[in-house]
Amino acid sequence: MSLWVDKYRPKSLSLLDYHKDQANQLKNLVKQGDFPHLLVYGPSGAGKKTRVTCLLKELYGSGVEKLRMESVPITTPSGKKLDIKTISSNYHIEVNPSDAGIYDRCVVMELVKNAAQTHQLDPTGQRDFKVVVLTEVDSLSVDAQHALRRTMEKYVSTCRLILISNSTSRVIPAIRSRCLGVRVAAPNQDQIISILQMACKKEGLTLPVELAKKIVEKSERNLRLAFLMCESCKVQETPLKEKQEPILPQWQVFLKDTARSIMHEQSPKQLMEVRGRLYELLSHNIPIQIIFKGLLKELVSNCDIKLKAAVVEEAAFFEHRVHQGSKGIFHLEAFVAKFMCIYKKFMEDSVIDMF
Amino acid sequence: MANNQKYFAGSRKQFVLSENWAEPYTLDELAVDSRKVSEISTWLSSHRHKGGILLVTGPTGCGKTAVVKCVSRSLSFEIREWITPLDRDYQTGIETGVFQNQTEKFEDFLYSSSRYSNLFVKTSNVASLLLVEDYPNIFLLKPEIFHGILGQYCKIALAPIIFICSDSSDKSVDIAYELFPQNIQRQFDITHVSFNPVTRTKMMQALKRMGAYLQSLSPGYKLPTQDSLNEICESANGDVRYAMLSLQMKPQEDVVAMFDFAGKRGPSNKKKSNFTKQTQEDEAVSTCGKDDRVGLLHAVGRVLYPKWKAEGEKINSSNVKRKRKEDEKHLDATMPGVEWIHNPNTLADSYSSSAGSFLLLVQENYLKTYSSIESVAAAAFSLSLGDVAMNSEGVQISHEISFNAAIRGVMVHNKSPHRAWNQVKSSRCHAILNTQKKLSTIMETLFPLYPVSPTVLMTEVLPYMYLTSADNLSNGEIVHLFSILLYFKGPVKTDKQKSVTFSEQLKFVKAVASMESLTNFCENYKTLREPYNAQKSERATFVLDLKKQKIEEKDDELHISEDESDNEVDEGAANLTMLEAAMAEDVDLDEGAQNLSMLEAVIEEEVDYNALLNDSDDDDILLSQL
Amino acid sequence: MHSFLKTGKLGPASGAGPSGDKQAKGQKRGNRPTPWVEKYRPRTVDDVVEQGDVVEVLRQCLSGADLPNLLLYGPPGTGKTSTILAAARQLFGDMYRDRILELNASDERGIQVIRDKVKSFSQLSASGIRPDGKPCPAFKIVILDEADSMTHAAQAALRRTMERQTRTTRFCLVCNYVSRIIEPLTSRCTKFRFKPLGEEKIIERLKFISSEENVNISSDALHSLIDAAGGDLRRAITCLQSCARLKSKDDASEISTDDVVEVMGVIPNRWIDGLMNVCEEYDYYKVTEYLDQFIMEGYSAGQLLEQLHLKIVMCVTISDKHKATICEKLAVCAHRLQEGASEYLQLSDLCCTLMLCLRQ
Repeated sequence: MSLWVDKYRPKSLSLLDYHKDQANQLKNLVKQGDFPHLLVYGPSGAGKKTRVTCLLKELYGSGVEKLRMESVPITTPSGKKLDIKTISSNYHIEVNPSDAGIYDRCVVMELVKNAAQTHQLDPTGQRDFKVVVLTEVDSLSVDAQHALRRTMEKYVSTCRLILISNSTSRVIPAIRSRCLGVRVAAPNQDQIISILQMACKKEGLTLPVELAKKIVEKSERNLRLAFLMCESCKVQETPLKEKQEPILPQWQVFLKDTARSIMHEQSPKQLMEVRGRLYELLSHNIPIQIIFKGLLKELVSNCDIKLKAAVVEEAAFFEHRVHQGSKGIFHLEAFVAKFMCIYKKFMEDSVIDMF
Repeated sequence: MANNQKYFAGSRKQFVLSENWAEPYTLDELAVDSRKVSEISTWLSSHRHKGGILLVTGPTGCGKTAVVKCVSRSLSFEIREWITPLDRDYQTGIETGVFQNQTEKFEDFLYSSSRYSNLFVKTSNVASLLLVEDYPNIFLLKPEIFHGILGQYCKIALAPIIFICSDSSDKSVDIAYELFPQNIQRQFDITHVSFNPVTRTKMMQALKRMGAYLQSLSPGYKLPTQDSLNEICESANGDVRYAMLSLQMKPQEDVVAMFDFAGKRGPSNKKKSNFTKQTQEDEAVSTCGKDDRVGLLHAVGRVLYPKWKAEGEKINSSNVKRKRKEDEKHLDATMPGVEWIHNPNTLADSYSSSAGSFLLLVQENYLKTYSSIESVAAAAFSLSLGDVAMNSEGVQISHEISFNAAIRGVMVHNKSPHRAWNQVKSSRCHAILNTQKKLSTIMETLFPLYPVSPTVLMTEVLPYMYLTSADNLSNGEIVHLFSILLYFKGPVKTDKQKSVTFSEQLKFVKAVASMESLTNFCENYKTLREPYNAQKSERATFVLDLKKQKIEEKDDELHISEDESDNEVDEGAANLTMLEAAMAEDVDLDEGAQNLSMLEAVIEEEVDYNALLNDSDDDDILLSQL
Repeated sequence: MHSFLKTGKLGPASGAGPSGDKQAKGQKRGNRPTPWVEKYRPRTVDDVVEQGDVVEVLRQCLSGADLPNLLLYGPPGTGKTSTILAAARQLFGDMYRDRILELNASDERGIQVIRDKVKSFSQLSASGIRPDGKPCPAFKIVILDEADSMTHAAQAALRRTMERQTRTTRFCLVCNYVSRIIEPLTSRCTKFRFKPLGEEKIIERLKFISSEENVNISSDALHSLIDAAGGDLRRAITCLQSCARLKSKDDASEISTDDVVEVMGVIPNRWIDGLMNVCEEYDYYKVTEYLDQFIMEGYSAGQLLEQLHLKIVMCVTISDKHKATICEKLAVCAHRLQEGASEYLQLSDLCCTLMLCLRQ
């Protein structure tokens, strides 16, 4: 058995539940035999990967579903040897270049070159090009992106790239202009509800609309999360009730507690404790951006609008520093300290105002 | 060490100050645990005129060679040491046509030395002992060759051989690990004695003995104070050779200072020279400390507890303390005419090479010395700035300047430092990084084909997978492990608690890595049960292995049972090394060992682990043996 | 490449000639359509329009004059690479491959490559006669595309080579930002700036292509396409092709403005207006909710900043002082986004500033 989110993942373009126009367009694209480089972007859980998989299937038939994992040895110009994990079928190869860290540039170039230079073994294959899927392009270094731009043009006859990223802000314009952008917006509330209800029906359950709405709200329009929440609700209580509360992952609860303890007391001692909790979060591989966002959402709740603006500004400032520096905790802690500082002042002032 | 032939050839009296360090001569002078010494001497006496292989390992400078030499002397063994010939021999070999490479030479050495006694030694009761401390490079590249030679040696040998290897934190250069894997040790019946770092007490004894000896050489020699001895002990970190070295160097500086003082004797200069001597000592510690540890901690302390004085005020060691109490409260850096006692510039200069770790230490510890959150915010800001500035690529900002700015920030903003004594803690950053790496390795092994990024997997899929699949996972242990993985402790108050979570995660890694079929975990949970059971006994032996370590450390009497269960333990250890390889490559052995010791704590606390052991009959037997 | 509009003026024969050939070739190879950008690249220097100075210099060179070292710079899609490639093709004819060394950012261009590859190439001497007997310049051309992404060290290594090999080699540096080329290099080259193309020229070209390719596009859509492309002909052509591709062949419907907007990744105006409105309401929660929805739609934050910037600058109700504050924040946010900062945080920060400014 598998999770609902995998079980009900559409397997072909015509089965997609939403963005049907777009699916049609993609089909047209495939029909024409020609196929530009694609840049698929959209928020997490909107179905980017699902669409890419469907597209590949449309292109090559069910052969693409036979996946294997390989590690490809890459030698950097400085002579360092790297093994990069790739997932590939006979027709495509998928790689997450951010695994290679600072060597992403040569990884990208080598992989595309390899894929482009080895032609399809199967002469009856419908396409004379292979597809290279690069995930998490937003974390690709600028250097690597520059390298990519020309590689894309050079091997266009034997190789197509599909780039997947959460946002295009970090993708350099040169790449954006060489790709056909496919924006995958998150499904809206009604779409999610109908999809969930359909899935529940197949499982022999009825999903009350009230609960579905709660799930949509908690999942922030992330379909994957919505599916997971829905399934966990089922485990929690069957049949599903209207009054049920969707469960949040433990780390989110923990993060909220952390925010609460920051507002509870502002002192160096408290900061020590908060730091311990932040370390705990970090060591569970919770990305620091998500910690910032989660903290901010909780922290502003008790502030007036001017203070909110100030807190947001600080958060934006220190989160940026995380990307510039190398040790995230320094900046996270500096943000918490700064917040404690302004929040304390704010509370003291408002106490004075009261009298 | 190999060059100390001269010393061994002659009598003990030849020891001079120029000789860098004093090797102990008799067994009582050894700074090593007597049990280890007796282990070696029993082995040696049982192998007189007989073939046999002994492997001695231990950290650098824990006295491995010294023990072997002393013991062999006391049992009247004659040591024949292998010294790798220079490459030049190899070259001339080609020219003259007599080609003998290092491998052949080594073979020759083993063969001839083990069979024929030294012509120059007349006494018949002297037995030969081969000592190999220096390994030809070729063996490290191709251990098979070495193992072949060992096999031959075992067949023909008439003299025991001892291999000495230093432990190394870097697995790739760890000789013992490369050349003597478990299966080889078993195959050739190699006895393995592993040394621990020299304890503090033993080290102190050795230092005192050395001090007395130095004094007997030159009567003018002033014995070092207890303080400086302590300092040496600290900085040596279990390395007795290093401790001896620093002891020898230290008094010499003192002597110089003493002469200086004698030259300019006078009441006005007295305090000053005192002061210079103190700084000299500080500098000596910081410049030649083993890994800058002690010096580093001192410096961090100065940053954490900044001190100021009024301009022009003279500071000397005797009245610093008094002054501190009187003046400190009114002084801070923002006042005009205030000077640093410890100038941040000098601190920055001397530590700019290890600025990164310095800042980490400061960051980990600064909170305890601050009293107001406002100054913490300002200091945290400087730290964050320092991190950014040191990391900048585009604009070349001098490392030193950014470092200086960061520590100045921390010092200036600390208006009234808490004076309570706090232990300087090492930063958790690296530990966290390691945990993260391990976690992602687990993720990769568990869900190689799952079509989401690791982040999403960790933040979204896994927590719910645990929630939704708990029912379907009839296997209780997996559920338990998942809960460990995803469990968040409340406020983490002590380091110990922290280490428990960390080691629990490690436990998860080990357990998971031993289950091959987990790769298709996401496809089918239920297949888990069978292979898991099959692996259970291995896991039990792994626990055994841990117990063994604990026993060793506690000097329990259970030594015999250890031998009996050796086979199983070996398996466990092999399993362990495999697991370690499965984990990130750069997790070095050292750390592995550290983690293991953490694990012990877990085992003690968690009874259900034992329950797990009870599951199978085999394990029961093993348990009762312990 | 945009400016080849001359084709039209020269008459259908020469204009249709190269592209017609190309088409035939493409069909022969098994129906693999080439990108229109390549297909409609100018074939001769005369095809290039609007970039008067450099075309004049190249034309003189074609008729036998010497060629200086060139530095071509300007915004993307204004025909820099096309121009020099077309010129080289005309100059050398069949020997084109031997006489040109083209290096770009995707090739290794460290200092070592400059030293070895460029040096050894430039040291070869070149004869002044083509195999077919026609005279041609006795030099080779090294084209360094995207020269602004070369390291400074590599650029420095180039200057000696450039000077020493003037007899046999000409260098042509092509870049977007001349400020990233070190001073010694710029002083050794004749600089030519490529201007963004005028709207009419682009429309003319796009209309020509769409009639060639049987693409049905409304004139509204064409205008929004040009607006979004902002003088970048390559982008405009690529976009046109993408829109055409997304339409099925039997479906003869027009390409609409919405299609263009979607393909270009432009944010529809209603989102921008909506953002301004919600900021005026001075309610933090409404703003963040709106932002959440915006990000959920998958629009690019960078694009939002660009469009918002135009909007703010043009807005008459905001005082100059506030405009300055907002624009500063815009710049800061754009910078941070580029370095990978979180979109949500940066946009919230920006919106807070907007909110406070619009209130006062």
